[in-house]
Amino acid sequence: MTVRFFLNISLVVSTMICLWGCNSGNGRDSLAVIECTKNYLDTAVSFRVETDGYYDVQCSAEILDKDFKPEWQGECLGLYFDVNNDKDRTFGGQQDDRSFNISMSGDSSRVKYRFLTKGKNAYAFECFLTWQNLGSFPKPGDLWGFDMVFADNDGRSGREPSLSWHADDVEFWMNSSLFGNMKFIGPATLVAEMDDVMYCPRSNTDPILDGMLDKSYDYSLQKSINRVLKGNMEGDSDCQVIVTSCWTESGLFIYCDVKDDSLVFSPTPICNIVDRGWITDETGDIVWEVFCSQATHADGASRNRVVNDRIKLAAGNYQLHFVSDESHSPDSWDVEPPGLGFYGIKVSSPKDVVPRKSRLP
Amino acid sequence: MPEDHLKKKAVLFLIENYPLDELDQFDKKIFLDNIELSFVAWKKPWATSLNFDQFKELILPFAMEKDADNVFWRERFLKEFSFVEDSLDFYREENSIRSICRIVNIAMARKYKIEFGSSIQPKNLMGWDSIRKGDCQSMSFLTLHILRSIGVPVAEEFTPHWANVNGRHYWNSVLIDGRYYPFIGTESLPGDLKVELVDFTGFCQKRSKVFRRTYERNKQSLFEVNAQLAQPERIPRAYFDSKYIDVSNGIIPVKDLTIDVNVDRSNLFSYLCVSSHKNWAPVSWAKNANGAARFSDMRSEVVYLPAEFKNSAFSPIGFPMILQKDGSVKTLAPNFKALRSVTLLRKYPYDETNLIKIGDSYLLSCWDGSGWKELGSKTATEKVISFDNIPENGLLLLQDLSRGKQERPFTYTDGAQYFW
Repeated sequence: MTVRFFLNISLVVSTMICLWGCNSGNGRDSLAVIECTKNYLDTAVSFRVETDGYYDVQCSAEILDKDFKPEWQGECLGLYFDVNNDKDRTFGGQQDDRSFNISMSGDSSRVKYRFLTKGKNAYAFECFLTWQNLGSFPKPGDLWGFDMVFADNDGRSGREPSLSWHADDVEFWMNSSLFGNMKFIGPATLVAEMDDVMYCPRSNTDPILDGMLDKSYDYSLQKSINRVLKGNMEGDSDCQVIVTSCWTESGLFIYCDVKDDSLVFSPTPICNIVDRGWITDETGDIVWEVFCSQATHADGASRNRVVNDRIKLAAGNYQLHFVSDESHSPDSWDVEPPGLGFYGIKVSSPKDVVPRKSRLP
Repeated sequence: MPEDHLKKKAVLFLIENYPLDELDQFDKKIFLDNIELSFVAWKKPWATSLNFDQFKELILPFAMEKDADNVFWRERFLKEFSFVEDSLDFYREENSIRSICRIVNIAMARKYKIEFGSSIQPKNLMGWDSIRKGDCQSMSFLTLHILRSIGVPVAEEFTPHWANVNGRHYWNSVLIDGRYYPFIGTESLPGDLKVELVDFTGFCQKRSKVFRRTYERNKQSLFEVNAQLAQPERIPRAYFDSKYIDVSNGIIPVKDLTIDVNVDRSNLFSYLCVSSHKNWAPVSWAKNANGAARFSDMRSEVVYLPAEFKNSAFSPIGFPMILQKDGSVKTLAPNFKALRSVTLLRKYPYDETNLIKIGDSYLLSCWDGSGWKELGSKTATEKVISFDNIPENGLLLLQDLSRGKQERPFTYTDGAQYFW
């Protein structure tokens, strides 16, 4: 694969940049590398992708534990997309499958979101997924495989009840043939309502991501997430989730209005990402960033984490970013350092072409 | 060096730097007890590697105060926390000072806690004994005394004003193998504390400066330098204290910053201020010389207002300026000939309550060199608010006239607000 990248000299301070053709330790060609050498590093490197395809990102960084709580133990929303709508009987087996989790614990994979508390027993999620993250840009009339699951946490012991929009099998997330559909329609389009289709109208403007419904959602048809996948739901008073959506030039917006007789969610985020690595596209939008549940231990102290991800990038110019915080970096480890030789972030072309399976709940 | 000789040095050090405002309460017995007990602490296994200079600053100084039973607090804490030495057996894999902080934190948390916003704060150790809760400054005072009593070399550090949010902050730092690690009693351990913790949106509270309290008077402090002058000038009350040193360099990213000073000005000193609660608060000072004032170790990527102190108040002597990452300076002089429209989302970077609220009245102002010049006010009809004819390159301030107090200056670039 031919790649060319260039470097924003003014941004490179105390940073080792691996130029074109260099090989990282794993033998793969690196498109861009930022090696963190000190506290308070704040730098970016430009790179170019010549052809659409999958690329590997590795980020070795400091992530602090909070009171760890798996996502499914708090109120959380799972979104599942089968973009080509091939109804494959596996999920993740095709390159078009995507899953996203949004939790009150603050860990949300590649999703921009806002929560808004609406009193003692109600709140709203408003989520935004870029087309980059979804891997495709729809046109009016497109039909994607789609489903969503809502985990209700009432503070009971064990795994809590969960509800889906369409699927009725608790393991539906492994089988996209069980998904319902999301149909992208133009603005103010009249449609005949169907149970297995969530109509998503086009809006000319992005809603403000603030947890509140605004005009952009005006033409969306509401759907309830009310199929009990497991656990005991005690009727509408236990938990009601109403979903509306819209799409714009930027991406897909999904708004969930939640009424719950017992609101329980993690009081604090499950982690604090204190060294941050991310990728932006030409418009400055984030196309990839580190999130907590991706990260695995990188030896040494528990805060040393590494993320290895494979992402789809369209041809174009990008920037790789890394910011380190006030402490625990190669010039002054606070506690035991990571075992990896590399600390920072890098993007490289994969040798193998099989995409990894998407993250599953 | 014989212990008696060291004790004499310790006595001399304490007397030379004894707080003048406490001389009338001087208690000879407590003073001598403090010397003896501090030497007991210095003999603890984790303290023996400290040299005298470290000992005299990090172990020896202690509040000359007794508890309700007339027991010197140093003696009481030494007994109360004597269990620490035995408990260390459970933490053999860890640095012993870090383990002691861990053990003491657990013990402290059973009795004391940090609580912000309370109008009653413990002013001394007796106060802590009765109130049992206090803010970060009070907690750093208590933690320092407990740990020093058992021979842990600990100091108090603080930032007088955050650089990009309102308020200030205090914490402790402990010397481990020649390096200071910040921590907060009852809450965090050395090596774990992030003073500038980044929230999940990426926003980070920046320290404008980092100072470490000392017992020794700092001869380079403004108070001492001014006192040496034949004709001292009036200095701000914040600088009456000379017992601290600037340790910013090495802890936060810093650059030196030189400003031009009109040679006709009579003032001997200039100040750099950051925004704090709608006012400007000094974080550094420099002597004026040859039409300039050079400020050392200033936090980069911060907006400073150069000022002088006259008639008991700060007066600006230039436009606000951004000290950039590379050390260059960007002056924020508004251009009233180049006007544009701005669309604003919030008035402060802190939380959801700072967003624009429909129905509230907002006032937008711009720093014009001498003060906040009002540019216009209007009532919000949407969750964003727009103003026309706003000068480019200005430092702006949006106030909610209907409610709230949280406001912060910002610049407006590429359609986005950057709070300073």
